[in-house]
Amino acid sequence: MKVTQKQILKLLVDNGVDQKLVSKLKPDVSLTAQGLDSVDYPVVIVAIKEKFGIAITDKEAAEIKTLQDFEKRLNR
Amino acid sequence: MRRLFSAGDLLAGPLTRSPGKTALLFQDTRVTFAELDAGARRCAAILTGMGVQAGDRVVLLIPDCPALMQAILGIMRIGAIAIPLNPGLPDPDTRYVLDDSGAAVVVTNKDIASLAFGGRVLHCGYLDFDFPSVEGADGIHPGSADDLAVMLYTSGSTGRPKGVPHRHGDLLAMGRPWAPTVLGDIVDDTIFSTSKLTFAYGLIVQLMTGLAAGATVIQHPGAPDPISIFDLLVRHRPTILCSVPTTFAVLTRAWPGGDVTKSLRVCFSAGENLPPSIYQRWRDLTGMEILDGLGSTEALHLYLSNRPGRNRPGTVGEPLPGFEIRLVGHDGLDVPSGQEGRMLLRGPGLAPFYWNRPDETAAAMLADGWLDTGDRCVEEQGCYRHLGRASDLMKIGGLWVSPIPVEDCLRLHPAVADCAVAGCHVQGFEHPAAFVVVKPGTVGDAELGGELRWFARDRLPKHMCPVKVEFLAALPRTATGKVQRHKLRH
Repeated sequence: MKVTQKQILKLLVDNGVDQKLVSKLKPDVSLTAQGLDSVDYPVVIVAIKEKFGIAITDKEAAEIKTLQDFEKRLNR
Repeated sequence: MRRLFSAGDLLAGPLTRSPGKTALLFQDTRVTFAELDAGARRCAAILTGMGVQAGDRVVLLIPDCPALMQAILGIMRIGAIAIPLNPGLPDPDTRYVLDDSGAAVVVTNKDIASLAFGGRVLHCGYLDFDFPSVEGADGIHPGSADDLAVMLYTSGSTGRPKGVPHRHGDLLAMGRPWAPTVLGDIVDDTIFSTSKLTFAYGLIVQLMTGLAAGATVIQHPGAPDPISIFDLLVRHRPTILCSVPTTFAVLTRAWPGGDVTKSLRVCFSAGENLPPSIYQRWRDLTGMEILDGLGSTEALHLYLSNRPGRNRPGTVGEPLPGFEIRLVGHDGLDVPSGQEGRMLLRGPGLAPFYWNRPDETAAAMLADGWLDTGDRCVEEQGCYRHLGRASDLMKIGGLWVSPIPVEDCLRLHPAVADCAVAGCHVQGFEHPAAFVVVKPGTVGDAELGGELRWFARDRLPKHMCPVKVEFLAALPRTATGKVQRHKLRH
């Protein structure tokens, strides 16, 4: 089943990432540059595993920078 | 009064003053000090007849009952070393202790064929031994206060249990700092400890504090379930209740209403951090404070304690008389007040070594009599807060994080019955993970997990907030009820 950016954004909010920050995220800009920090990232990685059953490796996580990158990886 | 050197003579004072007074209340039976002493002498005679000598280790696989108390005293009388052990331990753990201690004899009230123990076995009932016609031994072994008297196996919060021996002098010294300071004169009290004689806390409260002072002690052989505890509170109306946070929590959840605690004048907790939420629930239900304190098997006794009238919930109180405490940083230097550090302890009755563990002895039993407790604390205005075991700390973003404030926060959520926080690794970095037991009727699902993460985010610094929430039916615990956070780490 295809994972959409909207689902990913909901996942972020449901797991404690600030809603105002999430509502302003641009899909093709680095998430770190837009305010996601070193605590938000692991929350998202863990939530993706729990919700979609997809384990993102450390190497992959280092290469995922934007919302679009996440969408691409989850739909690979 | 003559100076005591043997803990086997611990009851000399009450025996002189009030031999006919009730020492033990066990189910429907009352055992007087004279009867308890006679039983101890009889046990001493039986063991001597079996060839037990001074220095021999004697493992006791008996639940809390008069026979166990007699056995501990009787073994100490002949200079042997009493090792009270939880009779409910799995066989592999019991075999480990039998091997490690080099036990010569096992005293038990159950069938231990499955242990394949090659030594001698003495069978007993709950009340006495199977040789009622044996006359008691009169003498005390002519050793010294430095001879070993008991050995307790610490359940610890990590790894295999360690044998922690204590000397006669340690036991004789131990009742004194805590009871007069915290409990006052207890000779007319009836004491109920849910902590068993196999643990330092139970041994101190029941024997070295309670019986040694001439108080009456309630013994309960079974598990500390709320129905049994409430029944005993109503039947025997104790004045002092000593228990652990897990049991206080269970009692508040199973509260029957009515005046079950009306006889109590002191409620005391030790063994694990007392969450503020549990303290407050108990206070709301009973009108009573719980005094919290801190001790360890290595120290044998409590060395920090709150006092009536000076109770500060959320802390473990002030040092007890005779104990010195230092908090040191990673460099071994004392930290200033208000800064957390690793606790070193010096005082009467500390264990001289770990049995068969020279490396761990060297690591913990330091020069000049200091003991590295392995606890992290912070001191403010002379009062100490326990921040957990050093081994439970997480390094998050370069900062040491204790699981305890995170757990205390999550316990405030109405869906949470209990929780533990341990480190998990995501992308190679350690982060807090929460393991939650929900209240009955609550579903632990992704939605609640997200809600709990938000709950923590609203109350804690970001780096302390769990990155994941896992729901469990129960938390892994030691026999004493301590959470084994190391089993949750991944």
